[in-house]
Amino acid sequence: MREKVAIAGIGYTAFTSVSPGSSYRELTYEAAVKAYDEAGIEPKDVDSFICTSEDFLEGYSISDEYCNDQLGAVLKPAQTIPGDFIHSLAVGMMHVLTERFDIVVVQALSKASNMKTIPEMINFALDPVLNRPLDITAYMVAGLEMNRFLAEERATRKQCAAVVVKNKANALLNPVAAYGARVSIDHVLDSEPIAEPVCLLDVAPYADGAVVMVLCSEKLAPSLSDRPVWINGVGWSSDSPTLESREWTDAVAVRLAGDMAYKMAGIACPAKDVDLAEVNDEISFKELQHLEALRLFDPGQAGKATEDGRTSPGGTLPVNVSGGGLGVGHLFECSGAQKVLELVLQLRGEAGERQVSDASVGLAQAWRGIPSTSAAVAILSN
Amino acid sequence: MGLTERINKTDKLSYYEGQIPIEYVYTYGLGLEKFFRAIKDQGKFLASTCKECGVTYLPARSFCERCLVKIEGTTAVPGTGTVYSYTTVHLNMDESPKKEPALVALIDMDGTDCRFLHYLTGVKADKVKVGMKVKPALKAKKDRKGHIEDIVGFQPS
Repeated sequence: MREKVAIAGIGYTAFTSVSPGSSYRELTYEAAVKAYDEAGIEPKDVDSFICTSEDFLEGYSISDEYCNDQLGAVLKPAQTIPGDFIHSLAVGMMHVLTERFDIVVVQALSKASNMKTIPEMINFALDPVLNRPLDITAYMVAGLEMNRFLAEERATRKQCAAVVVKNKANALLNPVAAYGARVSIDHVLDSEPIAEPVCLLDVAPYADGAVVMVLCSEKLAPSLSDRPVWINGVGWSSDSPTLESREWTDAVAVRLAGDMAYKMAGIACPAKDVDLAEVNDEISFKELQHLEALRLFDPGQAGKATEDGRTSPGGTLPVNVSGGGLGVGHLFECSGAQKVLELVLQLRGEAGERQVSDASVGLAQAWRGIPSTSAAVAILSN
Repeated sequence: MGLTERINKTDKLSYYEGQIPIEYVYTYGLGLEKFFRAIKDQGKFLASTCKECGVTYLPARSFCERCLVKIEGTTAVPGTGTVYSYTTVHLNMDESPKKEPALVALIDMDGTDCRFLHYLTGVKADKVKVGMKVKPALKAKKDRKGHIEDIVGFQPS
């Protein structure tokens, strides 16, 4: 079996709060042509296309039918993963590892601004018999989870707010981030309550954007890219969907996804071996919960580390240098793509003002968002 | 390849508004049928225990999600529990502010390995504590229809 799969080309749009000048097709088209241009390929060279979409998010039934034309994938082997981009990246990697596909394209898109009723749409993810009839926004799940997280003294309220302060400040140095801002802990704590203790600024605001990546075999990598980034490990897992029987305080599915990826990548000591991490921060406290699930910090320590600046740029483990979901925007199934994109830029040394020095191993983690437990992890190196 | 022109006048932007009207019937199946029938007819909470791993599910289920073995039989549990977490929700589904914030709790249910999500009633948000003992409040029998709204909420016991 082949041992290495390369990311040989990337294409992406800016991530913006709205994108009224482009259709969802044009967003993907823009990302696709940039990725193909960078890898020096044409769609006819691609052996397999993996798209990422979910019907309710796109506004179509069988939305996979609507994924191929803007990628140059009409009448080509193409399939759709209704998960996060990192799930699709894992499938793309496996295609290359079969040796039947040399060049594989992976895509994800968010056109969140097309959705007029996002809270209702998210509510459809709750159990229709047990939970949905209560007619309460699914943000209650975040409120319940964060309140318990704080009650168990896994972090303080201020430490959660410090995640928002850090990530929005990081986004100021990311030219494609939608929500960069200089905010204080008090700004976060004083923002409008949504589902206590979750306040408005604790929540990653929705954004639009598209990402396309070209994967290829180790053999082809030198002809497609002079700076390939390698996918060393991938992992994914989901806890029970039911709120009644799942684990609440620990992100167990994230831990299992991380362990699977670490094993594949041969990483024995994540806290030492990972140079930078882009983890899901859709709600402020989730960044801390996810960092601990990924064994990057001991339980109860990620909040203190954030407060002390250890997860800031220049810290021992920079986390969400891109701005994360809080600073770049919540991109639904494209969220993981933005994280992998940041790692690729960092590992190539192309991250400009926010470049992490000596970055050689990066971790990207996705979570499918409220009220899901689905997690996916990718570990990349240069 | 690539787009060489862009719409750069806001008043030239167009869109079409669409809706997807979708309706469903969500069948209960064996487990939930027994659970909701017992709530409606007897005001009881039915749980079921997996013989393989010993996990007790509430609501009752027909199979174990961990062992995947069939679960037979149900046991009535008191319906009482302990507040595991709670939240005050301030937004309506359309993101407008609620006139009356909603108090919702996740309750560790006595005699089971599960939690239950419902409203907290008869208590102000600032008096709620993690670990508080609660009991269910059901609608009057004549008003119960065999669904989750037969439970009005949980109140301090």
